[in-house]
Amino acid sequence: MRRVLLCCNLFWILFALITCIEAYRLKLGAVTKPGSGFFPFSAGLVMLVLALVALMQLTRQEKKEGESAGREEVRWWNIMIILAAVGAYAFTLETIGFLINTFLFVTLLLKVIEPQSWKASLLGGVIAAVAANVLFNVIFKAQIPSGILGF
Amino acid sequence: MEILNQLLFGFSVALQPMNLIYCFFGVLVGTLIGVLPGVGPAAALSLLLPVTFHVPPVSTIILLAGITYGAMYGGSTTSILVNIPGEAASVVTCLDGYQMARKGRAGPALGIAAFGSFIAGTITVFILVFLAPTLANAALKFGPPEYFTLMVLGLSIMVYLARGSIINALIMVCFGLILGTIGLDPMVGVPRFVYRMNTLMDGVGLVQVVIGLFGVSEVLINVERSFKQEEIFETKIKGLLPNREDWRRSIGPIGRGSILGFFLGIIPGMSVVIPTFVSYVIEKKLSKHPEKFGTGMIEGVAGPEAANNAASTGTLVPMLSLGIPTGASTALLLGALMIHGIRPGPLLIQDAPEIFWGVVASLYVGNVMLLVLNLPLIGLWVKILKIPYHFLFSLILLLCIVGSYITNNNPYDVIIMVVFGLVGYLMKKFDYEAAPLVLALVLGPMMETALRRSLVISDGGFAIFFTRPISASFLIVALLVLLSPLVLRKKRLREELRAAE
Amino acid sequence: MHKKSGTAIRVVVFVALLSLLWVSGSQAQEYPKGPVQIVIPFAPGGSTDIFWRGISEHMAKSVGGQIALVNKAGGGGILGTSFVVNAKPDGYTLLSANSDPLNIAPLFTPDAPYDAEKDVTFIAKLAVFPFAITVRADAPFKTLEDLVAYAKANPKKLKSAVAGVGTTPHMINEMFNRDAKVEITPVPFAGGGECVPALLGGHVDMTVLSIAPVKAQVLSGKVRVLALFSPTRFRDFPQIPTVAEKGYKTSNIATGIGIGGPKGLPPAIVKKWEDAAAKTMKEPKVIEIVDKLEGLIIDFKNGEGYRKEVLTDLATFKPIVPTLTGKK
Repeated sequence: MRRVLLCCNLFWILFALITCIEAYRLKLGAVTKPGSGFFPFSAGLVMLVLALVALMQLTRQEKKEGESAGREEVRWWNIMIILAAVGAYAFTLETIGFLINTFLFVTLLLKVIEPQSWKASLLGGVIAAVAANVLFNVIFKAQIPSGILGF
Repeated sequence: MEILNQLLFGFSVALQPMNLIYCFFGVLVGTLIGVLPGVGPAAALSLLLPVTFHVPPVSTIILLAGITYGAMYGGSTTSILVNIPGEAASVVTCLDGYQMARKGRAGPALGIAAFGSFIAGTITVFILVFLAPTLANAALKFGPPEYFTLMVLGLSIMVYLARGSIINALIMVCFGLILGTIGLDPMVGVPRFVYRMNTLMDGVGLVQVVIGLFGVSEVLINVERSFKQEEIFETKIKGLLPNREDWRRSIGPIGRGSILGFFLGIIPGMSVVIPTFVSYVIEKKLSKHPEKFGTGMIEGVAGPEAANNAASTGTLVPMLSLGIPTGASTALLLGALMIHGIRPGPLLIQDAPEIFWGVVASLYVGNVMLLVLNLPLIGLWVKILKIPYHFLFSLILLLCIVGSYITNNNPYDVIIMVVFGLVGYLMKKFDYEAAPLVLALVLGPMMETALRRSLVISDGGFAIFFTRPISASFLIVALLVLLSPLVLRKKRLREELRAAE
Repeated sequence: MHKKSGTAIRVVVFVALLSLLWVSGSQAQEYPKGPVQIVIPFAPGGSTDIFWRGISEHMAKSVGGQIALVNKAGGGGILGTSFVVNAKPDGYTLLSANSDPLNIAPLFTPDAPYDAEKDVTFIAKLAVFPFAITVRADAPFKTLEDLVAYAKANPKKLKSAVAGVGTTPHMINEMFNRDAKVEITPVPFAGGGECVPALLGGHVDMTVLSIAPVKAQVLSGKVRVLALFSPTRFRDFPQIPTVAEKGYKTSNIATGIGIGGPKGLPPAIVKKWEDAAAKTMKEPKVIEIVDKLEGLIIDFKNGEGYRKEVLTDLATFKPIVPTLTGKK
């Protein structure tokens, strides 16, 4: 855990440095007449200081014994799949259309994350897709795209 | 009692059967739309604006007021049930509301949100009636220097928001401030940190960030290990409405939240988000168990919800008494009124008293309608939580996606939500809190703009912040807020030393 | 197991067949066959948005179809405009073509995603937003001449709240400075709605903004409009001159609202909309609505006319922008 926290702080340090550099390129202006980069630069600077302090605090802390807290299997795959599925949904929405997209999305998640039977997954997908379509496109007239097939 | 007569007259208009129906319809639609994350009152109003063209003026206002309140309340529903803020103002409700839901206390949470909103609405409508013009004129004294110092004060109280490591919370604040600068520079118009990604030109998008940080990350956290239904939502539902204990604890926060929310809401251009954060922090500070905030303390729901509703009423003050729109929802209300030939402003009370008082009365009726509509629905909402999580979570994600997409029909907004979902998940695992980030994201741009405008007005002099009375007082309070922990610590040290002797 | 998956497959097939029926059924009418998306590149609640919501019903009738208004806000109008520019030129995605995102905002962005000259089909101009130079009622300036005289004597002293960055008020403030040879310092605010409290509260000396947010104040006597940036005098304030009348012709520019589309739109579709727009803007009901909206003047031009106007202004604005971005 400690190692991971060290990495976090290193990340912030990096982020802060990049921010400061990019902000500098945006022109800082003077304190009496701040330019575009003034604010982000200052925030980046403060972040840098804070992250360094946190880093120092961590290194000074003694390594605690038996630190691996309750290491139940973390299913990284699930996280990745969900994020990828949502991303894919976003990109295919305008081509495939709300109804089908939702159907595919829900079915996929039902089948993969906490595996259900095929029947249950497909059924769940259909229910979700139809209900969502009725709710959003009909009742709210939200005009979520219909996609190539027209629905 | 001239005013009382006028008010009764207003009620006689508002309580006509047709208007009651309009009110109900408005609240209903508003609530439904508000439940959808990412769609706030402004979007709801704009969808229904064309409908109002065929409706008489007072009824239009009643309809629109109903929608506004409904949307405000609807936002809290998803915050409590599934940790998805319906709009940015509901973020704070997530903090404790959702935890209450997990413990089987979704009913009381939803109930106190409804009642809190109602009470706040009632109190503030009355203040509005008596003090609107005075308040509006006082609010005009707020110029860029006052905004800046107020924001500084706002950030300083953030120190009390943090539950865990203060340094981590401060890093989150910086992160939020930096994220807030993404987009077009508000003073010059050139893009900052946009890197040719057009979606970012208006900033990262508060709605998408918030839905990702809260809603999506919560799903991810629950799903990372194999889960049982009971681990996520306590299966035994403990009551549908707040019990006496809940009320005892909530009445103070509701009162404070109402006053706080209203007076902050009056300030033109004030975001409704800020009063909710301030209320939360105040309740935390006043509580006997501040460390329990974030685990399901009802005060953390009652106060902010009251503040939320009160602030919405507050934003109507400049609109009604000066005719100035101070935000998207008030601008739409103003537009709707104008199309009907009503011109809010200093002359409204004189020229068209039946409109003004009809509006006021309808605000109140809208509040009542909200309660009437939503309390019975609580039973329904609570049942939703019983849906097996392996199905529910995909529905939650769907809601998140639609919510992010729908503001601008832009798929890249959904991607932003995904990114922040991941960020939120990682933050949860490594003990970084989301609330300071959100507050900074909202405050940052306002603060920067106010600072730069002030400096243009003062031709570069910093004295302007100290010579203006309101601005100076904010700075003093901010200083006190920041120094008080040190003072308290010294006191405690001294006491410990004394005890040790 | 096979039986169960059989049902699911059947459901999917059924739904797919339904869709084919739906699609083929709508082949019957001619353009527009379905709702036409008009993209408003600003957030709901803005003047442009309310304008469209007010007239869309009438416009839809004139063109013989349905209109679906969609908001795509961002980047001062650039986001929504670029969306339409990249859409298929089939006539189902059109743009509320405001002049700002076409001839001002892109000048502030180094990598503007489109070029108003090459990428946009101009269909028609519908109306303009005139802008008003407004001061408080208790200010010592009773006429525009007073203001200019004071400004000449006190360079950089006057602070003017301008509505927006990368917008017409932002531009014309600078252009007026050049026209009148004065130095009025602009203080950008997010929109007219924010300028009014700034003026009323005494935080700035004057403001350049659209009429709608300020009309109530004018009528109640709290503020005074000295002059308008507008093609003609405003119907409700016939006594207020335009800056052109006062001799400042170059800066007399107002924001236009129109209809546009991606390049390559079939001329037949363009003509259809042009005619529909001309018809709509003459309807008494529409004139009434625009009047009530307070702050818009109907100013119909056909596609070619609008195009010329926008591009001329673009050429005028180009050399001014570096002053605005560099100075700050």
